[in-house]
Amino acid sequence: MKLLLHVFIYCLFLLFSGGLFAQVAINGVVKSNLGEALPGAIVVLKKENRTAATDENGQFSIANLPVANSYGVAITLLGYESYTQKVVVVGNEAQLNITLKEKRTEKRAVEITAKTEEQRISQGAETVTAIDVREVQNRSITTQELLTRSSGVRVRETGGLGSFTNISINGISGKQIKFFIDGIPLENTGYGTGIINLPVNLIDRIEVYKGITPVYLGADALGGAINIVSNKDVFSYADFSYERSTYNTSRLSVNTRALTKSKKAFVGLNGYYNHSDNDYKIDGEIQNTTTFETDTIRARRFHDQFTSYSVQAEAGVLQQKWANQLVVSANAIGYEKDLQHPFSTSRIPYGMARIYEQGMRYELKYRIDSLLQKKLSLSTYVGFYTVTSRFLDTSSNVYNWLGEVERRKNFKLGEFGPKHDLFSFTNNLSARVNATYRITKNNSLNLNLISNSILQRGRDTLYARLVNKGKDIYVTPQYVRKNVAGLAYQLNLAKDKLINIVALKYYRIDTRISEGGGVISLTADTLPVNVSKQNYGFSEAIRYAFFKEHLFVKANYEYATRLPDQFEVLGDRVFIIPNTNLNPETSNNYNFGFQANAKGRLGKLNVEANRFYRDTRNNIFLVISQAFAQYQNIARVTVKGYDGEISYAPLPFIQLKVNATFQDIRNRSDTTVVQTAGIDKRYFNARLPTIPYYFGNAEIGFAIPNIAIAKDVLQVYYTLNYIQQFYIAFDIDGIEATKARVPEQYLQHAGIAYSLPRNRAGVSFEVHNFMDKRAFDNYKIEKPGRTFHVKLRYFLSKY
Amino acid sequence: MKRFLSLSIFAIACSSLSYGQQIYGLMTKTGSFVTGNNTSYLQAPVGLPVGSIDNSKSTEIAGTGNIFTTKGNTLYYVNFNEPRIYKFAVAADGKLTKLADLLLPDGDQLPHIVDMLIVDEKTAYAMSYNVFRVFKINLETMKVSGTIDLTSLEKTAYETSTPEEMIIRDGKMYVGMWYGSGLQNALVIDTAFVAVCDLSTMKLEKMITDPRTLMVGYGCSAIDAMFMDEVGDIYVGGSDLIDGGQGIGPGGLLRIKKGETTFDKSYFLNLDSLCGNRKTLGTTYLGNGIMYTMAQYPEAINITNPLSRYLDATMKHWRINLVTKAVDELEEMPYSKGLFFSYLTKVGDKYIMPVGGPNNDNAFWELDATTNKAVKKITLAGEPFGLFPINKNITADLGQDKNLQVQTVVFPNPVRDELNVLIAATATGTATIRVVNLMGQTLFTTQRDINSPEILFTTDASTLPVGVYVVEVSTATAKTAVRWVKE
Repeated sequence: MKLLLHVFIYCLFLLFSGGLFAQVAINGVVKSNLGEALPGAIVVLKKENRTAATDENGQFSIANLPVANSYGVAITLLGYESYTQKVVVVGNEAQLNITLKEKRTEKRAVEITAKTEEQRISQGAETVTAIDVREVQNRSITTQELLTRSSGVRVRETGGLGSFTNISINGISGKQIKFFIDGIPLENTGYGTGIINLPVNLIDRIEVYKGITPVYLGADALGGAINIVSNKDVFSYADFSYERSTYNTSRLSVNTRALTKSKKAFVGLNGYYNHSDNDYKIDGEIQNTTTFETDTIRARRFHDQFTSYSVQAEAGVLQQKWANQLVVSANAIGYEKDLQHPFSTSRIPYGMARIYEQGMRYELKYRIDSLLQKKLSLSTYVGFYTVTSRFLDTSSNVYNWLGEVERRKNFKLGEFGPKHDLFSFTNNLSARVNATYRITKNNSLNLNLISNSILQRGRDTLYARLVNKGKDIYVTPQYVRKNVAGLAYQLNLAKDKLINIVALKYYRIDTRISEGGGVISLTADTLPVNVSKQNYGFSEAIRYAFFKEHLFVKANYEYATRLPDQFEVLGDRVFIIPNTNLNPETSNNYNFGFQANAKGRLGKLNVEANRFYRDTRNNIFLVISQAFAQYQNIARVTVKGYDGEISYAPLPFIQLKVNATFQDIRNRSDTTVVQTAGIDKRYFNARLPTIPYYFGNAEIGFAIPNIAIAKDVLQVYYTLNYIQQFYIAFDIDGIEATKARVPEQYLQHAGIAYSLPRNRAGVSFEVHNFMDKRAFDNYKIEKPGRTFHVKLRYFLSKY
Repeated sequence: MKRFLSLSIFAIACSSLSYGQQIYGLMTKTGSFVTGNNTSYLQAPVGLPVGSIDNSKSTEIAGTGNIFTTKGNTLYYVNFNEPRIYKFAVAADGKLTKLADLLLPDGDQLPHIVDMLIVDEKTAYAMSYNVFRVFKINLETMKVSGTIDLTSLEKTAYETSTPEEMIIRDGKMYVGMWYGSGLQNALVIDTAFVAVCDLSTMKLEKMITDPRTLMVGYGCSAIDAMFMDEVGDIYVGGSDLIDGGQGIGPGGLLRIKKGETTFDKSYFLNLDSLCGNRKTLGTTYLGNGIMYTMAQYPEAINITNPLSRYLDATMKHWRINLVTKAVDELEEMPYSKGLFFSYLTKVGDKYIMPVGGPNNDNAFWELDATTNKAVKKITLAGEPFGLFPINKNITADLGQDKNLQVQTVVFPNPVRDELNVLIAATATGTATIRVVNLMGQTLFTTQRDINSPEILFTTDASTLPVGVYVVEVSTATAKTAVRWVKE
């Protein structure tokens, strides 16, 4: 406060003195080291408390300055190194010609002097991979391909664009991995088929936390978390990209933001539209209806279209005294998806069943960094989502792989089973408070509280009429509230060489079903049913930097919990019956790793390796019987493995990258606890089938600048994905030659991209899976073969 | 399933042989909780395995097997996940080679083969769940050679209905049906239904019903629920194990007497009440009026786990004497999973009985049906789906030419009053039946039309002097001779 007062008095003095004496003007032009005018640079005369921004021609002017011996001029521009200089004005006007040195535009071509945000994160105490998305925004790459190409991560799909996916991090997958956008957990938020459909042009970076989830990401993640950080540039821009690829696939993304001149307020509009027919060819059996002979043909998928869209408008104020950030946003989001076949097999095609989803999300984010003498930063978030989804399976048609209707089923049956026209209405209110208190320069506390309440009800009058004599079992509301609290203490020692973070967490879920309905085994006298589950968590992470930050050694541990969700506790009201005794899944996660970097005449080298161990207990699996199914805590699974990545740039314009992951996932379930699930003691310590255990990627890229004009870049790149074959059943059983498997696969991709200076515009052409190999992530469910992609991007910025 | 009867009688006929080189077809099913799926393992060990056998030499087939069976030197496997029949050749060393597969049409839901009845090495009948047709299959080409249309029996109100089980007698096929609605949680109609079809015309003749018991078989599995005794009477087993919580039943036996095509109104055996008022499932007939069924013990069900009654070991075998109505629980046995384990295979003078005990204690037990006691014999790696002899090295010992397509069984043997000759033939035609004494004198001769795959010839033998006789059955292309004893 004292300082503020001084400044205030000083300003007053200047204000008055300015009127009394002669006035001075400082004009100038700011250019890049390549001679381009730089708009949007901020020019600050700190002592005089004056600022200006450069115009389109890089010019600025600050007039009416009080006379002084010299002026301290500081110029900053995102992406450039800042410039400070003492300027002596002779006379009453000075003309400056300033050149800013580019800090980072093209990582591959330009030497990095400052640490990128990705480096800062990946050199922290947690085991984390930070993927820089900006550097691939001109390419035809998807979020999910970016994840697949990073070490320790595997994304498995059941088909083309919009297909069902399962993401694993170091051998832990499915619901045990949590997703976040800008630190906000995504639970029932309308991203029905996952955030991996988000276009890369809306994303700044992706952080993959492996086995340890930082406190500020408040969720019950058992084996790690994926946090998607969106673009937050503080200048006005418009980014358009359009990609067109095989199978009538289009991806459009628009990302715009307009700031006021003072840069203290902004509005933004962004959105995307994805569509694909996904009509690629797979093996399909055709049966002659009179002779009953079958033929296998290469059949075109005929009912697999996918469309998704999102439109988001936001407005906010920045850098106010009372708020560093206050943003409100509204987001309309939705998708439509045809269901070509059941989830586990592509033998029988479907021709009518679909899923729709539409939702609105309203969010308010508030952040202030300057409380308690700038020691306390507080960020809060309140979000309300309302999502309506519809599962439509009302056709009794039976299709063959030629797309023809062969016959009709019983009128009560749809393609999956009983006919459904099921609406689900989900309202979700979530709130989060995150506070960081910097006790001293080297000590800080982080507190994160998050609460997520879901009210869900449904409607299926068709099913009610056909199956339940008009009684609609889906109208029963279900209420779930999940609370996660975490407190972390970070200690930096030895000039930040040592970072130690210790954290405590608390998880709680309350589920409530208040009325009867079709939930089997719950009768009127047992209702309402309340089920609460809670658990505590702990984590410890330590990192030490050796050799002037050329080597980072880290070790961390988390006792993590995943709470059962409402589907697992309450079932699906038809086939899956409730299990109110379901316990949280827990895991002891250990990581030990290092990261080393070296730079010299032979180029730049970065090596990362991570050894991991997971011991997960009470794993929840769906146990299926003839009449019912139920989620039960049946398994204990351990994962031992390592992942590593080497990236090497022998010359500034060549980048090589190789990574590999080995994850040895073993069954350690107690065979005496539950016999129902069929956990045979013969499989104790056997490798879990159906999960890939060895995979890797290799990439080579060339980025050649100054092709046609100065500072343009031509990129040529090649990627290889490798997956070792894996079996569908435990490997101790059966003759090797007869075992069902997902085969070993080498998938190769290549592309070429050209971009104008500073990414103003770009065009790329890529061929994915150019050898047209058959690609599988799941047994006998084929993914698309070779695809061609063209992407255009136009990036407009104004300061 | 009629197959069982012929196999067990066949086993009686060869009971004096050495089993050292007998090849058996053996299937186990393993569960993988990771996928929610199961996997089938098929193998053909040479000689009865001693102590234990694992799956390391088994052929793997993704998905649960439903039933499998053997005929000649061929093994047939039927998948539960799709209505597909696989044919494997069995080599002398037990190696399996897949020869072909046949996909039948899918029903409206839960596609799988619901029953397969092998008549001989060339002919079988099979049905696909929820498809109202009987498919006649040429096993040599693995192609459908004809169908019996049952679509008039399809009732649209009952969406989980299916023809369930087949048995053949005197040129007629009896198809046990069941009708259920309510989709996943089937509400079973409280009546037994059997369709009667004529095999020469391949046409449905009529449907007979009886309200005293309910669904024939289990709707979706390899449970034997129909058999024919030595006299030629057909027994039809109704089961209430899955009753949709309706409390309907009881499970019991109906009879279709030889020469008739209607239920015997005077006969009903309430299996549930005989087995201590427990729910029963399956009928396994051993001959001489002895039958086994399985009864579910409520005290074995883990009431905290709602899936327990379907998945856990909760059942025990019971011996039932159809003549005296005497019942005995099979003593000193663990509870077994009942759903797939009703096959008993005669080996020597005992039976091999599959038992899926608690905690995955899967084994073949050796049952002595006379004393009604069993001992654990072969430990298995996976749930047992039965053990069947593969008719390879023993054909010569049986006194049959490999090329002969007639198989003859005499029962009971020794004969007291009535001589029963069961003739299994692969083709239609005329068979000459001769009874000769050891001096080669023909005592009796007659001709029969072979119009069904198995025909039973019965004659009065009470006046024959005590001694050893031979019955010869010959057709234009085949001839067999079986020795028998008159007491």
